[in-house]
Amino acid sequence: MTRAILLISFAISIVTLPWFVSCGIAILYLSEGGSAIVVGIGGLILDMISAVPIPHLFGFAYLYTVLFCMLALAALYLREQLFE
Amino acid sequence: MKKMERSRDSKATFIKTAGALAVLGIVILFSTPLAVRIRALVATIAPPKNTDAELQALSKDALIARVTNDEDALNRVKYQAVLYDMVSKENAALRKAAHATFSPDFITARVIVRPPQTMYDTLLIDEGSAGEFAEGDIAAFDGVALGRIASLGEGTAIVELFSNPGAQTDVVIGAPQSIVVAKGMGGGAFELSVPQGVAIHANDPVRLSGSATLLLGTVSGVSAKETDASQTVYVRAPVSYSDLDFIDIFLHP
Repeated sequence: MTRAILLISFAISIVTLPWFVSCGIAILYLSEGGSAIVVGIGGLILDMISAVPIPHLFGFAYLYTVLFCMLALAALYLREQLFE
Repeated sequence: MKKMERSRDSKATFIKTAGALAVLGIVILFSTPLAVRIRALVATIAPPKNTDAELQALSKDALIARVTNDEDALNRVKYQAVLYDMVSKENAALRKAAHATFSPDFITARVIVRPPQTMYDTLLIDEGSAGEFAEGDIAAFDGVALGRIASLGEGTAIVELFSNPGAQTDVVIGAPQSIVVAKGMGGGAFELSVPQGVAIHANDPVRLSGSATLLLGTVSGVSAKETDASQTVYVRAPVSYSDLDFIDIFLHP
């Protein structure tokens, strides 16, 4: 139940709220045992919506994907360390 | 014992669900126009700090210097306004003499996503249907150049703001007027390297090269060393990207 509500909140926040709010909700969702893939996909959607190549980063345009995948990986690592 | 554990579990589940519902409620609330009313209410209850205390802390000489600076800046703006009006009238007269008709060569688009919703210096707008405008067209708001169309989608388009970190834009600045490259620093900030011979003051306008009327920003600071051949000029965009609701897209001729 909690996970589903947080997933809906995450999906809405991606297009309507500042990116750091989505990031916070993604952390809450992951801490509730949410799917890491969903968070990664969320990052990819954010990049598809608003990304442009950043000259300072050699034209890189996948900041959200990297950030959200890092969150997901950190969550997977912590889950593994805590429950095994 | 088991009963106690079950009651504790159900209490924890209830708190978690209530917390998640609160998050969902906040997300929905701030995704609707009601958020504007809430912000207005907060601003009324706790208005931004005024600068009276800051001014009272200044010495008499510092206050006089500040007033003189502000008056100078105001006079410059007034002079530029008069100049703009004269040029505008001259342009209208020339158009009339040449029988050139004025066609509105821009369309207005609604902004869907803007910073800080996105960490990129971009705007997502709702006008992207084929044939209306092309990649590279300039987006502006109230005479202020914001960026260029970076990509077109089905009914949407992405505007790359000129302040995108590392983006380079030709601008006109100073007296005598010089064309220099403005480097985007993110968040509406720019950095320019201008030869020392060009006189630049705080609040001077910085205009987009190739467009006589579009403003890119105003000078917020100048850093210069006598030993250097050039001075570093810091420029800020005069509009807040987070407040943009509608922008104009200037169509390619």
